[in-house]
Amino acid sequence: MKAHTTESLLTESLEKLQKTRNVTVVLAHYPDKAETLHPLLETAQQAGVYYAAVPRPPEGLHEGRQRALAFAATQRAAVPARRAVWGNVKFPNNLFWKFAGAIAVIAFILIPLRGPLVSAARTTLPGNPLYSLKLSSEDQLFASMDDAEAQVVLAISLADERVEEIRALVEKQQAIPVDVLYRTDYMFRTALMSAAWAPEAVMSNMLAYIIHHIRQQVQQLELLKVQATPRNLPMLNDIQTLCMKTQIIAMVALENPETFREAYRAGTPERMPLPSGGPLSGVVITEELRNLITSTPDSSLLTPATVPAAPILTPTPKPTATPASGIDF
Amino acid sequence: MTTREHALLKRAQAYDEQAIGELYDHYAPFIYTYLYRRVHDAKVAEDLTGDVFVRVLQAIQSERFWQTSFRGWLYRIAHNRVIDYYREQSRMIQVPLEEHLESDHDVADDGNAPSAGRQAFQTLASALDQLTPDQQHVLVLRFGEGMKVHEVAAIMDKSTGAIEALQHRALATLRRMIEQGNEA
Repeated sequence: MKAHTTESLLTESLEKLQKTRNVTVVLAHYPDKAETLHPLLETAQQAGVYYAAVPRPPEGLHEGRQRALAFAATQRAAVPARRAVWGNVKFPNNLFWKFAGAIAVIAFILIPLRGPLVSAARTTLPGNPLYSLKLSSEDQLFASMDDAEAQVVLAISLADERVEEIRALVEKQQAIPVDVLYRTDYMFRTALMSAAWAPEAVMSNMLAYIIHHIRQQVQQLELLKVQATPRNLPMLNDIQTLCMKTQIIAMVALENPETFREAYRAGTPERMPLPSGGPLSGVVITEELRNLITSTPDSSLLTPATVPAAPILTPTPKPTATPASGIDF
Repeated sequence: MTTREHALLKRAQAYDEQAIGELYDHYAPFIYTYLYRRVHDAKVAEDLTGDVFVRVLQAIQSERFWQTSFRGWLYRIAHNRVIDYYREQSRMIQVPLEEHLESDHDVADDGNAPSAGRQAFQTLASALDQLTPDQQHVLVLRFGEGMKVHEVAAIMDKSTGAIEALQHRALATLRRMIEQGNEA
């Protein structure tokens, strides 16, 4: 016999209420629980009346129809072939050539590590027993290189890998573990620290590379949110906020290279303790800032004018906040 | 899902204009109604309805998401869009009661108004806005869209037990807030 909790009794009584539309009649079935159910059924009835008051939709909801059809037309016109991941990234010429060498170095290092197990591990997702092997091989890569430019490229490409994992998890409707967030955070911090140790002449280009690349990740995450289950949405939002925060730091760093270098050469900034409500909430991504981040043309990344003004950000609570930029490095 | 709907969706995957138009004409009024119940503004609800369908087209290539229930998937996208909307607004929009009542329809005159009148309606509207997004989602789907618990569970990707608990908490909280509002 099914045990009736208050919740299931409420559901049952609500089904009866939908048929009879009379609270008294429904309560007669549950004399022992009438006192508990009565206010809840009445409230449900009130909510039903409230929700029934909806204006007639505008004729044909014409605007939305036009937008949907226009979008479909652009998709029909687009080249259907799926481009390679790197093909989606449009590097500014100078940056592309600047980092092509670094990418080649990473590819060279990857080749000897392609044992069967590591190869298998490379495609695994969080939760798989081989996943830790995948992370270990990534750590080995870091340990094996001492060139700041190569480290930046590697850190960002591994953050890309985290986004790919997230995409796979979202498509499989599996929960995104918090470790993915931490690992992405670690990659971004590593990228920023490596940039801080880079020679002065190339640091700006490396920061611009970080900004450019993370923007792609933000856009990918935005698209993933369309498909995400409600359970995954908060984590996607947190990871997107993390991406944006890193972008902001890199943008402000372009304006204040000395402060940035000093802060990030001092050591590993503290690790983020919580996915929600932690230090991530120290920077609020306003709509204005979001637009700025996603629409800034690459060609203007190196000009100080694109750096967001301090008042857009809410004050960060950490005592180490840098007054000059309004953001905590 | 009917065979015809499945055929329409397959054509929509290829961005067939007629198929997309048919799907839109059938589902848009439901989605608009749902969105209006969440955002309380006709113009915003209309805009968001367009957004939802553009998002559908962005993700329609992945059959996994709509093969079980296209309708359920639509409501899920609509819910996600509402959350994004409020995040964009950085606050829960509180539509002034007078504007709400007199803009598109006058609840007090259309025969659907609660007997307690405008004051009670205002209290209820305010209390509903203070519920969590998930609680609002459950109440709209259950008492606005008239869905069964298992349908809501599928849309929200939760167990029926979780939906029943959410529903119970939402109604209890709503009741408490209404009573507090009446006392005030």
